[in-house]
Amino acid sequence: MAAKNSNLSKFKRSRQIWAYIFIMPQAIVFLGLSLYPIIMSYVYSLYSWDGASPLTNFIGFDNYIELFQTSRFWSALLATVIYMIGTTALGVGSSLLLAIVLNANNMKGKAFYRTIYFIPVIATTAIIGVIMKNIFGIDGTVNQLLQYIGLVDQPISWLNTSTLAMLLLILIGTWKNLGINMIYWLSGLQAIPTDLYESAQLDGAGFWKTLFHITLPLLKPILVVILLLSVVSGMNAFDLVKTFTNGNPYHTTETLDLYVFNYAFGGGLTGATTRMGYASAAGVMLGMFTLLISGIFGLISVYTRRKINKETG
Amino acid sequence: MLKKTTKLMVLLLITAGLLIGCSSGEEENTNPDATTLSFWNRLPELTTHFESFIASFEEEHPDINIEMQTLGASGNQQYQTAIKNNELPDIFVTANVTSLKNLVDQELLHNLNDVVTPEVKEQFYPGVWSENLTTIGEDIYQLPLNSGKSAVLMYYNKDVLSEYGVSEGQIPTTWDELREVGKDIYEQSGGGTYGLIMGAEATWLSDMTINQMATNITPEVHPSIDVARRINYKTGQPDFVNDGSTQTIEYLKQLMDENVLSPSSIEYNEPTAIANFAAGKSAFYFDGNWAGSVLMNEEEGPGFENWGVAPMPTEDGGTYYNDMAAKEGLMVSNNTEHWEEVQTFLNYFIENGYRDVIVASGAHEPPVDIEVTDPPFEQYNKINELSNQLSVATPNIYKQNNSTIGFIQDYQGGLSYSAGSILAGYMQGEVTDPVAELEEAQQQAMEVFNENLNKYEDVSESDFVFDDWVPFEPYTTE
Repeated sequence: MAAKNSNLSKFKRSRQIWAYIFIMPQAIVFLGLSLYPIIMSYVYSLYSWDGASPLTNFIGFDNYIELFQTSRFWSALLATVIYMIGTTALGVGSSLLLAIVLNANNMKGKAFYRTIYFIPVIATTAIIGVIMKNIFGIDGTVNQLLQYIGLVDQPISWLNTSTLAMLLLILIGTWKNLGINMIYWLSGLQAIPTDLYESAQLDGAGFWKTLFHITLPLLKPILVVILLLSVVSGMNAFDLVKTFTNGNPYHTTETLDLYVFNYAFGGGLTGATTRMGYASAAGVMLGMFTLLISGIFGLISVYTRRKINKETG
Repeated sequence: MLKKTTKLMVLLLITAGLLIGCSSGEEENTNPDATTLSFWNRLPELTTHFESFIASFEEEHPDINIEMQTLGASGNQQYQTAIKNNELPDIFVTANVTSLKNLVDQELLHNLNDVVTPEVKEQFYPGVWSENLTTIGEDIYQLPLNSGKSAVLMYYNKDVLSEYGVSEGQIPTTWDELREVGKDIYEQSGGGTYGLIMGAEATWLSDMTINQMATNITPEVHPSIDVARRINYKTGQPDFVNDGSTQTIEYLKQLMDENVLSPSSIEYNEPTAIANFAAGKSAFYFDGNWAGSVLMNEEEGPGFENWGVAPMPTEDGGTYYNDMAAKEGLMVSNNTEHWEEVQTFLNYFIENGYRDVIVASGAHEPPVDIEVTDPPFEQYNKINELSNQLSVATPNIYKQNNSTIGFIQDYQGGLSYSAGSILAGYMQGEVTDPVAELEEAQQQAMEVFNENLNKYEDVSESDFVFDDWVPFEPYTTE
C-alpha cells in the first residue's frame, strides 16, 4: 500500500514538473514581452529622455511633477474617464437588451442577427475611425443628408464641437463593442437553467417578473465581468480616438493613451522633439489608473460571488 | 504506410505553400554575390523617384543591391528603436527624432568626409553646410537633399479665378485684398466656393503659416518651428505674445467668420486640403513649397495642373521670410559593413540623384546648382524663385555656441503650445481668447527657457541675441 502511494506521489510530482516545463516557454515570453516593457516604462519615467539619446539624465520624479501641473494631462484623464463611463454605461445596458431579445425562444433568424451585431467587433478599429470621420466630417455623408432633406441649412460641426465629438466617440465605441458584450451576456443567459423559467411560468410569472426576479439576479456574476472588461476596454481607446478625432477639438477628446503617444512618438506638438521619459510617466499613470479600476471591480466581483454563494447556501 | 506517405506529402505541400506565401513577390537579384544595402526613406514625396533612381543605380552597379523601405506614420518609432538598439540601416533619410549632434555623440553616424571632399563641397550652395543640420564642427554627417530654401506660399486655382472674373494681375498681396476677393467669390458662387482653404488640422502647417506671415509684422521673432521656436533674436527670450502672432491669428479667424476661409479647413489635413483646393472648393490655398509636386502627382495627389503660385498676402503687402535650413539629407550608419558600396551609392547620388530624384520629383530645390531646362512641371521654377526670395539665412545659434543644441532640444520638448494649435482651438470655438492662450504659452515657454538656462551652465541669454542681425537680410558671421 505504501509503495503504491509512493508511486502515485512520484507520478503526481513528475506530472507537475512536466506542467511547469510546458508552461515555461509561455511564461518567459510573457515576462519578456509584457513585464519587461512595464518595468522599463517606470525606469524611463524617471529620466529626461527623448527615446534616442543615451539614458543618462536622471531627474527623479520631475516628469510626474510636471505631469500633475499640466492642465492638458488632467484634461486627457477626464476625457478618458468620460469615454470609459459613457461606453460602459451605454454598452453594457444596450448589449444586455440585445442579448435578451436575441435569446428569446420564439425569435427567428437569431444566428443571422447575432452575426450582424458581431461584425463591428472583428472590423479594424482604425478603419472604422477613418470611415466614421468621412461620415461625420463637415462635408461628410451625414451633413449632406441633413442638408438634402432640409433639416439644417449649415453643416453641423460634429467633430469640432467638443460635446458632439465626445458623444460620437462614445456611440461609435459602444457600437464597436456591442457584439462582444452581447456574446458575454448570451453566455450568461444560456447558463441559467431553463427549469427555473418553466417553474416560474407554471407559477404564473410573466416576462417582466421573470426578468427582474430570475434573469437579472442570476446575471450578476457575469455583469461584474462584463463591467470590468468594458471599463478596461474604455481605458484603451487609442485607435478610434487617433483616427476619428485625433484629440480634437483643442485636445478635448484627447484620451490618456493618445496623450502618451503624442509625447512619445509625435513630439507632443509638431514632431520636432519626442519626450519618451515624460510620456512614460503619463503611461505609468494610465497603468495605475487602469489597475485601480480593475482592482475595484475585482473586489466587487469577489464580493458578489460570495454573496450569491451565501444566498444559494 | 500509404497513410504515412500521404501525410508526408500533405505536410510538404503545406510547407511549400507557406514558403511561397512568404516570398515578397519581388524580382530576385540576378547577382547572388551582390552586396545589399538597406535604405530607409522618410519622405513620401520622393519615393517614386528614389525607386527609379535605385533601379538605374543597380543596373549600372549590378554588384550592389539597394533595399529601400519607405517609412510610414510609424517612422519615428522605427528610428527610436533603431537608434536605441544601434541597428540603423546602412543609409537613411534624416532621423528627425533627435539632434544630429546627439547621433554623432553616440557614435551612430559615419562621417561623409570621404564622399564630400573639399572639391565636392564647393559644388553645393554654402548655406547648406550648417552646424547640427549637416555638419558637426569640420565633419560632414549629412548629405543634404535640398537647398534648405523653403517657404509657405499661396497657391491659386486658375479655373476658379477665371470663373469668378479674377485675373492673375489681381492676385491679392495684402490681407484686405484677400478678404475682398474671398468675399466676392463666396457671394458669386452662392456659398459653393470659398476664397481660401487651409489644412489647419495639421497644426504644424498652420504654425509655419502663422510664424512666417507674422514676420511681416514682428520680424525679430524667429519663424522656425523646429529651431529656436518663437525666440526673439533681439531680446534673446521666447516671444509668443507679439503683434505678429496676435494679428495673424485674429486675421485668419476673421476670414473664417466672414466666409472667406472655408470652415472645413479645420478638419482638413494637408492632403485633403490640397484635394479640395484642386476640386475647385476654393480659389487660394496656403502650403509649403513642396505642395506643387503633390498637386501635380496623379497617384498620391489630385493630378491638377491649372494652378499658379504667389507669396502669401501680408498685412501691408510687404514681404515675409522663413529661415534657410537644410534639414533633410542622407545619413550613413556607423555600423555599416559596406562603406565602399555606400560611398559608390552616395557618389552616384551626387552625380545623378539631385537631377533624377530631387528635381524630377518637383518637391524641392536641389542643394547644388543645376540648370533646370526641362522642369518636372511648369510652375517648378516659379516656386523655387519664390522660395529663394523668401528664405533668408538667419543667425545660427548652434554655430555661436554648440551647447545650445541640447538646450533647444529640451526647450522645444517642454513646450505644449504652438500658434498653430491655438489658431485651431480658436477656429473650433474652444479658445475664446487667443491672446490669453498666447500669454499662457509665453509663461510656460519662459519657465522652460529659464529652467534650461540653469541646467545648461554654458548657455546664456546672450547666445540668442544678435544685435548685428537685420531681419530680411541674409546673416553671415563675416
